[in-house]
Amino acid sequence: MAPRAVRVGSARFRMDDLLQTTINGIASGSIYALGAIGLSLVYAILKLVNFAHGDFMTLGGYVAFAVNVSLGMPLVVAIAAAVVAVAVLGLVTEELIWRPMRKRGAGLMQMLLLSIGLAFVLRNLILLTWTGESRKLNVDDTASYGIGIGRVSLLQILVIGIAAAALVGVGLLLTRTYVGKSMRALSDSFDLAEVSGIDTKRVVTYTWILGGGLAGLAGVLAAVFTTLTPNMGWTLLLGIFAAIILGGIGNPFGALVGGLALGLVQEWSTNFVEPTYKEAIGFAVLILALLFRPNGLLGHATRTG
Amino acid sequence: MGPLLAFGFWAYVLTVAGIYAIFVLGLQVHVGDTGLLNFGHVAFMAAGAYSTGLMVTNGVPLLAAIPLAMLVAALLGVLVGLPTLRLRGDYFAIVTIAAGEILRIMIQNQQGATGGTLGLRKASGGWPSFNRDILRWFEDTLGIELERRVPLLVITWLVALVIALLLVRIGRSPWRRALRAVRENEDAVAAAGKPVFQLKLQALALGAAIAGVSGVLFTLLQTSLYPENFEPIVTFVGFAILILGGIGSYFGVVLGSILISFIISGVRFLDFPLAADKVAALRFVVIGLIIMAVMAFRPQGLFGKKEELHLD
Amino acid sequence: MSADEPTSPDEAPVDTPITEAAVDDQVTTADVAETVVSDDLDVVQPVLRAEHLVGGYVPEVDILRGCDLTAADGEIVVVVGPNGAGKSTLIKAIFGLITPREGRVYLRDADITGTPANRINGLGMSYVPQVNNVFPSLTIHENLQMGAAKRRKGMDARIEEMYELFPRLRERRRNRAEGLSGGERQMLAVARALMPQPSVLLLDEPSAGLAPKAVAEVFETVKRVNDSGVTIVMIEQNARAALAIANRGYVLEGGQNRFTGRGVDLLNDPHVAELYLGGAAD
Repeated sequence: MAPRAVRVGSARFRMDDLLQTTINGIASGSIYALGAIGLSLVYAILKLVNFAHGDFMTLGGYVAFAVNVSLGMPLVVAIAAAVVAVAVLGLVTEELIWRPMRKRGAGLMQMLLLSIGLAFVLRNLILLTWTGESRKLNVDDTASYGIGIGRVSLLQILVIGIAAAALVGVGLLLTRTYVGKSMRALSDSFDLAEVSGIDTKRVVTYTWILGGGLAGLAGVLAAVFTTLTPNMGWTLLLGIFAAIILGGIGNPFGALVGGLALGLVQEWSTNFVEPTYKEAIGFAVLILALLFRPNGLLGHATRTG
Repeated sequence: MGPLLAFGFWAYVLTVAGIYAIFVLGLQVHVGDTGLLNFGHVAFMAAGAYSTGLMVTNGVPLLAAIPLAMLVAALLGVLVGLPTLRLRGDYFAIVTIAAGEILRIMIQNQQGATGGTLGLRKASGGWPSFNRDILRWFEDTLGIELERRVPLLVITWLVALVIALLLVRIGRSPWRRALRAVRENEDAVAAAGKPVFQLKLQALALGAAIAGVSGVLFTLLQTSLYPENFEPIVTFVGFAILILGGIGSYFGVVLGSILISFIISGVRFLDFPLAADKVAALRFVVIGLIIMAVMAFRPQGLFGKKEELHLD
Repeated sequence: MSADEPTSPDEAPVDTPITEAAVDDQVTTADVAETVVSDDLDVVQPVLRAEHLVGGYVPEVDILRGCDLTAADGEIVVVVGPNGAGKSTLIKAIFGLITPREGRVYLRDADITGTPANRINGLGMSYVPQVNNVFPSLTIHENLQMGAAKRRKGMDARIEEMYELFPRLRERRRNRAEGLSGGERQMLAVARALMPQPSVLLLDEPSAGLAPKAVAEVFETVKRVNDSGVTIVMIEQNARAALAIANRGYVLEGGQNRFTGRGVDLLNDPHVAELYLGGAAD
């Protein structure tokens, strides 16, 4: 706890810490949110609690690594490749696993346990392909810029900027476009969407493209912001679930709020306790929140059936 | 590789299998018997292991520490259950992982007490010397030279057997019938005036205590405890065993743990033209494929009954 | 699961002279004749025709055991009957939500038997389920847009027409549907179903669970929609009120037609009144 003595001594240091932890909280919160929105949409529309979602993210990180480092292409290309690759992975699993299982009338828990199997397979195939060595994308992690009251690093700007753009895009998609509204309609009631004449199969396809693509993007950003290992996504998954539950499961806007809240709480907590506790504190917040709001902070008691 | 060494290795694999069997018997009480999707089961094992380790390293005799360790695990079950048992199934699953992770992170950070990532040494207390006594007795009195891992192997499977028989016996009790009714139709049980919450809490505590036993045996086997022994993956390997053997089947648990332990540790003997870490990854690919295949084609597992399966 | 239980002989109106269609437990589906209480009910050009539908939710249990239904252009057709008679199942079979084991469904001249609900929606027939018939987290405007999935061209103009028909929906167009009252919710559900400009609208107990005032509103809505030229086929528990506005009524029991006639005639038929309407009409 050495740094704390310094902090207590000087108000200026504390301001700086607060700024840094806030920026970091927003950055990691946006990564949670990007992962959470995709997972939440898939859950709401397909009633699938996809435990492989974290490993979808990891794959996105490694595809970006392959393009950005192994092939030496720019980060933009790497991001695009990761988004496309994971969206395709989502579609492939829908075709090969989820749709056939739904046709057989598989239950929620059966699909959930199946997704755990898929998570094992993906994570270890990644391990087989890229080994367990931790990797970094080719981004200058020392560059930083002064913004008056403190400094922000290039990494923070990249993560927050890209995530914010993606989140605004998703928000517009869900509220302004027909397919986005259809996704929300399906998450309200799949059966009603069906009898209303909505092309549910097409909407499911778009859901996987969006959910997978966001997972891929979140994976790249996590790889930029932290380090890339085969366990990266799995480690993030629990926080993503926490974000979803905090925001009310099945509600994409709640997932955004939940993700940011979780990221900020975790990072702010490092001002008071050892940073090694920050994950535990995030989970403790989840449990506490559920004590008072068993359906999540923005959850609707009527839609949990 | 000599046959004796090989035997010692197999004894080790089978002991691990037995510990898994006990661990998953506890999980079976939660998942199969009560319908609680407990994804944080490893926390109860950790509670059993670390409370044993902490007691014996602070001078409590091993024999006194064991029942106390079970009690600690059961109490942790109650502690976790109180705020979470009223939650929906999928929330409960996720919150239990979170609870397990909180415990593991705390163990990792309380270095002064638990040794943190450096490990808790000599956690098995008087067991190694007791084990030597047993081996000597066999050699002196019966003239049999036992492999040093054999006593724990036998004890582990005896304990597994006793717990399984106990669970079968409980299976015929009114308590267990009420529990089954909770799993089938919770609302109806509640409407009939039965204390659903208490029943679930009791089941959670019972399964946790059983997992605590597996933690004790794990401590005896490993002697040193590390936080990374208790990562969520252990729970999911437990689920792989449960799924393969069959949700609801005690016998399936036993067979499932032997099969999965063989896949995890046993195939080390097969010669793959691959590096060791790649083989490790491949093993878990296989386990993942097994989970997927069983869930897709035989969700009741090898020995479960389809009509007992509740996966909605 | 609301499988019908075959009416036992002592409960069935065997000794009622008018019911030639008295239930005999042993009879197979085709054996029960229906009583037509009105003459000149034949329709030359029906808009919807269901012929001898047999089937249910699972292959082993037939809930429908030879049901017929005809709707002429511009009619209000009401289906009544006791619980478990197969009313909802009939509507679901017509709308392709379950595929009947036997029998055919024709919309105009097209055979739509077994066509999935999702496609039927684009063929000129819409369906309003009894419950969960609006998207609660979507606004009223968005709910209406969702109704136009099959006809996105001219969607805004059509929504405008719906607002003309239901001014109350226009007032609340930006509100989420979950905040609507029971009557308003049914109004929205009907408006959403009307978005693809169907010629036939199927309603499953639109007044179920509503307060008396809202029930009156719903019937008012139904009449207004019918006045705009849409043929209505509706199931109702409020049998009296529904038959009063019906051009054609069906009394279902045990998955078969028992009485058929003009709404007024059914209301005035003493047997129908006694058996299904809880006593003679006042």
